Amino acid sequence: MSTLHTVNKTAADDALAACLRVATSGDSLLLIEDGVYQASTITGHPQAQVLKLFALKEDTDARGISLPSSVTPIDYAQFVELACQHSRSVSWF
Amino acid sequence: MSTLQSPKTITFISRSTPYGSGRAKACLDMVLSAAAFEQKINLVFMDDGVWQLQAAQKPKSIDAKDLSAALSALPLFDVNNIFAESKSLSARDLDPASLAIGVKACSAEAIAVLIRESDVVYQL
Amino acid sequence: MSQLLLHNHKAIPLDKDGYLRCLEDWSPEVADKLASSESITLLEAHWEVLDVLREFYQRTGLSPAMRPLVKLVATELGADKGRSIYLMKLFPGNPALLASKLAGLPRPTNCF
Repeated sequence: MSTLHTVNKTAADDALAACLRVATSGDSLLLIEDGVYQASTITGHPQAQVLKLFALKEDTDARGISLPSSVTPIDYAQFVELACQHSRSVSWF
Repeated sequence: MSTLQSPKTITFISRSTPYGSGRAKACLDMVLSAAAFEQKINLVFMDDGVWQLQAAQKPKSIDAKDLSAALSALPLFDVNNIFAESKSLSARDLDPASLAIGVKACSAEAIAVLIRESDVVYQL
Repeated sequence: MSQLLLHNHKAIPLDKDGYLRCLEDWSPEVADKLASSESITLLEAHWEVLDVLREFYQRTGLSPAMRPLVKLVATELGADKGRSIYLMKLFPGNPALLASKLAGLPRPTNCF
């Protein structure tokens, strides 16, 4: 029943804010591409507390971004696994 | 057109302005395609997407087709579940009662329910 | 590129499916010529459907596929005409494709 949300934009775009408004408890949120720049600020977001948070390791490595402990790094293979574990995915791009 | 499989519930979340990029038009085209295949469709306007609903658009002045006029024809294509997020409307000072087309103003929570009840969700 | 030759020798460019390349090229004569290339003689019953389609396209920018076409004709011309069998008789084969072609509209999206 749960949804995998992916966000690939920085905070200059309202994609993450929109995603957080409609994501619900048990959903997963994966930051990819420029979305990984929001990894450290997202943890302070009240709506983010009920979500499982991930970031794509290839994209954080490329940008020199280190992740807070509440955001789990995953690789592309795990991205595929994650997509399979959810009923649907929404790309906020 | 015959439907080979049972129809899916598809929710389209349109978050872009009508003429600033091709995204709003692309979303409408996807909605019309899905409608041609007799799928169960929800169309949701959020964020800047609600500008597509602004009344009195006359995009002839910029050589564009009137997107709101095309939206007004959606019931003919059996697309009747059209929503706009109240918060996005009020943030842009748009009155739900004086939009180009009739939409159901709804909360983010209601959109969350639409997503949960969908087989597929497209956001653009 | 194929084209349609009018009586004044003006050549109207068509796309590979026989649709007008420039929608502004449409005229009743063009419709008649396109119809005869499909072995159809346009009668009053055809013209009123073409008028409905052209008005709809001007208003919305959309070329309706079959189901919306049936609903549109039902709304504009009455329930007795808003039926697929009626439109099939006027525009045999695929009414949505054929009627939009003769009305000078783009090919309906997602109509095969």
